[in-house]
Amino acid sequence: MTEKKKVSSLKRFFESRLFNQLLPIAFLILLCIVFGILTDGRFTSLNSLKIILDQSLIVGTVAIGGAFIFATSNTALSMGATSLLSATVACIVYNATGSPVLMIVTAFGMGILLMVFSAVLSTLLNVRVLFVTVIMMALFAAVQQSLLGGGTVAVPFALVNDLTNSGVHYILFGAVFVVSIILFNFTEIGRSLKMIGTNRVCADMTGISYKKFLTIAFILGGIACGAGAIIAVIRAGSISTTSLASLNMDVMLALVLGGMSIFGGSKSFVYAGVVGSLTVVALNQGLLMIGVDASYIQAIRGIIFLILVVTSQKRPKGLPAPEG
Amino acid sequence: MKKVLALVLAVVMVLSLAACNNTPTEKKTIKVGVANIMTGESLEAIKNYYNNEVGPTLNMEFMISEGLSNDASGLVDFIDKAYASGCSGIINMITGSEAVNQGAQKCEQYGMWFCTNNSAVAADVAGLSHNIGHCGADPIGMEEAYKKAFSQICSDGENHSVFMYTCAAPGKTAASHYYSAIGVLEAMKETYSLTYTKSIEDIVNDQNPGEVAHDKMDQIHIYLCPGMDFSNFGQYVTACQTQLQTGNYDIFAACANWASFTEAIKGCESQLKKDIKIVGTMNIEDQTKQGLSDGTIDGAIINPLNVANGVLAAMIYNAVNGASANMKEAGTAQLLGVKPWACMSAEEYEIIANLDKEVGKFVLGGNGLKELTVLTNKNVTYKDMNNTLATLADIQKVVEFMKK
Repeated sequence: MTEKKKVSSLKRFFESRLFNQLLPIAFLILLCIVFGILTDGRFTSLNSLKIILDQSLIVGTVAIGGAFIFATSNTALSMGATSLLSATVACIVYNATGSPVLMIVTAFGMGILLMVFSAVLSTLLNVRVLFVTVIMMALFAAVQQSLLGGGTVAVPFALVNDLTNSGVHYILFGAVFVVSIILFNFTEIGRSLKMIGTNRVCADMTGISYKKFLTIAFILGGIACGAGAIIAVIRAGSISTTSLASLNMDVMLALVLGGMSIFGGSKSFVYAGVVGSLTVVALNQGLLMIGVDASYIQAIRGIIFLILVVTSQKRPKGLPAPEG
Repeated sequence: MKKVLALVLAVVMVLSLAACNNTPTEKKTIKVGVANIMTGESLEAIKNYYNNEVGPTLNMEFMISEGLSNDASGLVDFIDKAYASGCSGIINMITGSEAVNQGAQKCEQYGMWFCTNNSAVAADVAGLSHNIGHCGADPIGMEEAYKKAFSQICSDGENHSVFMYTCAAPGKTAASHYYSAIGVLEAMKETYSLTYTKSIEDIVNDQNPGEVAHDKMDQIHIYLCPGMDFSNFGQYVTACQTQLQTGNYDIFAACANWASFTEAIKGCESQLKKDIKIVGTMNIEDQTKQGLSDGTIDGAIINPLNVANGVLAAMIYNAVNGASANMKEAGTAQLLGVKPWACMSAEEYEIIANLDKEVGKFVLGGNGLKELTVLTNKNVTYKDMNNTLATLADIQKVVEFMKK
């Protein structure tokens, strides 16, 4: 093979979807190895890895739902507020009824309702998803604040303990993960969402209804938000007005770090958020374990994330991009 | 040849054994996680104290978090990290009752010692074996300090009206804030013979901001603004500005974050051409000194920041070294209170200005700190620690205590 052809093959590989998917996973594995060595194996102990998994569950779960919306080349900023309000109402329902099943059903129901509300407004009024969800973010936060009145709502520790020991959080995450993988990769839903993200005009011309599939994306996002809400309740046992404050930003960071294209489209993959979330938590934990001062951790994270994003994000060359 | 070889081997063996015996046995360093909510100068003060004073004195290592949010999730996440890092205990600075409950339960699961920098015992978790207690601003001390400050300011015969940011007072989320607000209301009641339409406790527990109703509202105005939403702190500054601009108020009080309001207050002062007095809970730091010197601040209720931090470190030390029962009463976590210092002038502040900021000038450092631990006092109890704290209420006695 000539030099020119070799260079061209390499370039194609670095710009390929496979590379986009492999790079974050490779980085995560490398991180674990490096921190494992630096901490004499403490980082890679079963306890430590379990803690990393537990801490990344909330962001990872919500990010799975976010991937469906991101795939359409839209950005939803209300996922954090949706999870927060869903968790709040779920806790209130539990305290009123004493039923954990009702609490879980309420969380899912609220998640779907709130996200569909955003989707309907966007499609009905023909306003970009970004603008609608910014408004919804403020609205949901205000509703949550008026429900709590500046205080907190908590569930008994015994319930938290029971749910944790039963592995409910792992079950919820696993179910959302598996179903999302199937829907995104093996069904018309996933194909249509990616097509819309690649080029909405072409998708429309091939009979893919933007409104219909955006609504489906938001429903799936709502389910993920509901699951994230329950996991948040299990983790902390209480919800306040400041809970999950940075969840939306964390979800977006996780998606981007996980290799998800910020432009959506064909290079989207649904588990990007999970990989990204694990990376963020592992980096935080590893830096703390090797004794880095908390003040410097943010700066180090920022540099590493910037390098990762720069190497993995590239505007795909394809059909003309959607306007606006 | 065999004899030479045997001799060489014997020498090597003897030298090896000698080396083993001479290896100094290192005392194990106690690693502690600090779930911190401070930022800026206050955080640097905590780090300086823990890393440069307490650490070398008690052979402890501190893993201090970045500023966490004041809720349970941040605390639980940090406890997980601390456990994975090999910490034996947690010094918790998140005061919300649910956070304390969750944190204590989590530490109980992990077998880590847990203590909290706050001013109230969390009753739900007081009996947990690994919850070794609380140390914070003495709530009654805070009430007395604010009452004294306001009585002094309002004793000039003039009618004064106050806007107070009570932060986490409602429901005693932060007990020191609750009692600070009580102190202000009592001082105003006694000075102006007010009759409130509700009990003082009900007024302070009201989560909605508003003017306090009493029988002389045409002359005296009292506005209480609670709120702990630090992600949207601007709303409280806006509320303060709105009320001050009515011209009805000439005293501003804050039991936390007073500095965040100063620009808004200065704006109102220049607009209304009046002096608005500032009274608040403050730390020993440059901006407090500057404020008292240039007249920005009229009353500083000083929480000696690192005294409580030192006591908590001592409690963890004692627990790790087998004296956890001494830190409790019949297995129940106790509250140790640090009395605040009320400084009404730059001269009073000057006495304590350099305290608690650098190695050698910490109120609780060196031998004073060791005396609170089983290191020098095998039978030390929480009562002994509380007695020491009581002596530190007097600034002159603090200076003597530090000479130890």
